[in-house]
Amino acid sequence: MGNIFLLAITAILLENFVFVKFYGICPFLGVSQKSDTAVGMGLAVTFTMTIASALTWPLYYFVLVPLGIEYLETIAFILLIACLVQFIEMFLQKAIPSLYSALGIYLPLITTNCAVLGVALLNIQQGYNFLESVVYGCCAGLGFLLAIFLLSLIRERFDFADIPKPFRGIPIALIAGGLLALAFSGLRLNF
Amino acid sequence: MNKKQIVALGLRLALFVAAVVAMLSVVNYLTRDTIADRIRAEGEAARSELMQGCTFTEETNVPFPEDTTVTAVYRAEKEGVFVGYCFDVSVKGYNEIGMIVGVTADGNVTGVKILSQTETPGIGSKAVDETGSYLPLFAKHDIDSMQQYFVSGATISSKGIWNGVSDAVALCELLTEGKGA
Amino acid sequence: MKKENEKLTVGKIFRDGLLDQNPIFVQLLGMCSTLAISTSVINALGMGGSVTFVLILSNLFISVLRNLIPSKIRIASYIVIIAGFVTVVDMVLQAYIPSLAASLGLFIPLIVVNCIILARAESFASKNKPLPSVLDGLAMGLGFTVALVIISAIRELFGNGTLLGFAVMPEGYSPAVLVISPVGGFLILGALIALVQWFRARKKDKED
Repeated sequence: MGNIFLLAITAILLENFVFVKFYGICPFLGVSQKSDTAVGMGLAVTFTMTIASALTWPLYYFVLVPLGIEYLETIAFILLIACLVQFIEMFLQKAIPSLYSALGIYLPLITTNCAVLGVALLNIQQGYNFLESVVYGCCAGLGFLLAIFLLSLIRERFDFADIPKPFRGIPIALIAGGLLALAFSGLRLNF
Repeated sequence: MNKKQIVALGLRLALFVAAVVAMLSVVNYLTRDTIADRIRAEGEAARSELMQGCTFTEETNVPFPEDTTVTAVYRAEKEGVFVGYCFDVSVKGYNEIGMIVGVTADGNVTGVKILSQTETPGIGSKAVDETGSYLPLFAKHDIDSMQQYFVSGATISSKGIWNGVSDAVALCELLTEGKGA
Repeated sequence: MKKENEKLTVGKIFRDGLLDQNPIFVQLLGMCSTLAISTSVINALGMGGSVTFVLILSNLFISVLRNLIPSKIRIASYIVIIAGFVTVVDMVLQAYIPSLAASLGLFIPLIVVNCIILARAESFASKNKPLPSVLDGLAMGLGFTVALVIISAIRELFGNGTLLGFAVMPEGYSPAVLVISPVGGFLILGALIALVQWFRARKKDKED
């Protein structure tokens, strides 16, 4: 149990997926102008990462390993993730239309979000068991949600700030991200 | 879109996948042995650096204690005389660290070599730097007094490495006792 | 006459890739791998070379097959083709340049979801003949590599006191670890993109 707890804290705070591991930077910069869309994207990513972890783990250990074709890991995972995203989209559209209208536009972007493929590959590389993989997938997603939400809160204030012209847009977002990363790295000194 | 069209599209995609898989299996066939050889050679190079002038044989039927992080044991002999063991160890810091620990028959650590690690540069990487301030200490201090040292900002990685080395020392003790040495 | 025309397009493809449409500094694509692996020039060259290789081959194959790929499953088909070449790079690096494979780690397989490659497939290779597509792949790959090398040279020089692994800073220089840590990655990339935007704005003002 302690292990799982440490894994969760590590994924969310100490080795934050965005600030330390640099996964999912594209949506982190691209969809963080407004906090409500940022939270929508973060939730969609967390949801997909959790399910992707739960599906890619058995795919690797019950299909690829017995057949001796571990080298197809990348291609198998990305196909599974693409199908998964498509399926989630169709399912949400039919079953929970309100959630679909909130998350719908972010879903196609998630296939090419490297955080999702990244967490699937990391689970295998780090030798996590099934439970650890699912917890890690979920918490890494929550780490992404936290990061994109914090950045969006800062970026909302930029509308009222007199930012030098060349820094407007992505550069100032990167610098704000860097300062957030600095704050997160301070947490590590105590661990 | 009717069913027929979906099947046709699916087949087309399956065809692409099949072609790519065929290409990959060829490349895998060509590189597989090189990769395996390379991993073996890296291990051998690390072992002979930890115990100079020794020959190594992998021990089979090792009574691994429960929860140990040691994954393989190599017996080191110099001109036919038993010197100690090299242990393959795999520990969790923030990330998995693969290392080899050399331990002499009387329980002294000769050194720690890192084989694989994915620590973040500038943060956790200080704990796995073989020329840094942490890893060389293992050859100078006994394992219990090493507990007071750690790399700030990489405490979990340092503790993980310490656990791995102390597992190796414990297993060495167990193995040498078993032989009545 | 015709030859001169061709020459112009080749020149334009390369100017786009290296300057006007530089994948990192102008199109702002592939930020994840840019931030993660730009801690040393060697890594940058390795990553740039891998991405260029995948870009050239995926552009070539997608361009050749562009009339065979139904538009409804084109993204999935592109991803399959790209993933194939990425896995080839991964295996070859592990076999022949293991130290590079180890330091780039998961960011090699993650080239699959690098937006640059999918973006070139969708916006160039699927609409153009094979030869220009290959050139476009080469030009974009070079642009990516050059940008990566610039960022990583700054980070390696100030964060580690070395360039390509050789010590270049005077003895007694104490490296600014912050520059090589993730924080420095964000700050330096932000400052460099701001610099590029400033140059572009100034150039545009002059032209007007």
